[in-house]
Amino acid sequence: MFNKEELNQLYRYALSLSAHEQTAYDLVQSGVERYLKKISVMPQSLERPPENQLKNPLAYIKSTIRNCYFDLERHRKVVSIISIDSDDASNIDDYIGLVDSDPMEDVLINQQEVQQLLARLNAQENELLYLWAVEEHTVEEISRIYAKPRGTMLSKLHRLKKRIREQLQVADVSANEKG
Amino acid sequence: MSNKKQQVKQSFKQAVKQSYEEKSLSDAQLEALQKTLAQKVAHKPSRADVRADVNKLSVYKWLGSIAASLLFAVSIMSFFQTPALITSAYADIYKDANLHNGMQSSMQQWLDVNRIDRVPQPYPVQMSKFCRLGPVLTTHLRIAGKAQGEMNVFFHQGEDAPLWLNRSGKVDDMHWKLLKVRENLTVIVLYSHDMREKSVQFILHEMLPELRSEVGPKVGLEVGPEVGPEVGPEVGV
Repeated sequence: MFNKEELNQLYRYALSLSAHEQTAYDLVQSGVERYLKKISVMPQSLERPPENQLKNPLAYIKSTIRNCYFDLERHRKVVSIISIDSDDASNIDDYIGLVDSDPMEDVLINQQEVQQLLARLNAQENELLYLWAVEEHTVEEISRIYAKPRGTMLSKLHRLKKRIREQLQVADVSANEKG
Repeated sequence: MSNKKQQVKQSFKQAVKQSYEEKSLSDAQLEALQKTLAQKVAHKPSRADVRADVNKLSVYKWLGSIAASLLFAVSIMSFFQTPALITSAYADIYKDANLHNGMQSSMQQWLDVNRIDRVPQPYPVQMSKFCRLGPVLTTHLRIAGKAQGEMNVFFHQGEDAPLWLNRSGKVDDMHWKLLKVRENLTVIVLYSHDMREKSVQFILHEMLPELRSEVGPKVGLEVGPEVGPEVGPEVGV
């Protein structure tokens, strides 16, 4: 049903949210189980039109993993829930071009710095970074995944990149001072 | 990962991608997930199985509705037929037609124990006895009308037979009523065509306190302000 690479893809996505290996595995397990439960009840309604059936199982499981993770964190009250809608999407034109013309190709970074950087980002930022950098989704696709307006996601991504640049600059300065 | 490799600078996107690609599920975790998937897939019914189940279900539904219709038809038919209990009582009345033993003291005692009041004074008890209506043990009283006719009352105490509902009807020359009076008491009344309906109601109301408090719909008796002792044969003015 799912090959090794697909299961690893789910695991990495879960890892981008939880930043914890065992939690990520648990999330994948829950996501897969919920997906199986979902498809096991589907054949009972044979009359159901095909468009209502699961077209993209991986997307469904990712969405389940995301919901499971935020439910878990809400219970733990660790994550500060910040509405993604709170971003001002009215100045969408300001961000168009900024994001696409900023693939951060000029930024050179080593693995140690990546680990430090990821550790400083929160779950939502890590997830967004994962979708953009690892899965290489476009802003359009990310906005569809989140079911949010494109402008909101443009704004989010722009701020995230800005924050990463700032953090890397701070890290550079401190490294130079030490050197 | 070696320390040297960690220090190699890459483009940002590439570096993030590599950092994730280095993290994978362990073999044991992969095996556990594949096992979960395999078990669930094995249990998942095929479309053909599901269709067969659906067809089977439709057949069961069809058979069920036929059985329900038949049951409904039988219960409707039995509702309009005279219950076997009434025909047994009717037969018992004719069997004891020549018995005139009046109100027996044992019978009066039984009535008192079972919170059934005495038969009102103007109506003489012609016969009293314990009898069986089929498997049901009952107490039978024959009460004469004040001027004409007679009524037979059967008291059945204990568990009701199934489908004992408040009903009434006619069998040959007699009217009958089946009344559920209280939790453990059901009354069967048969009275001749020349016995006045008002008198029957009056006697029952006098004997059974429940009918006095819960008149009308529950027991199927029509009770109006005119209910009272019969004062004599109706004579045209």
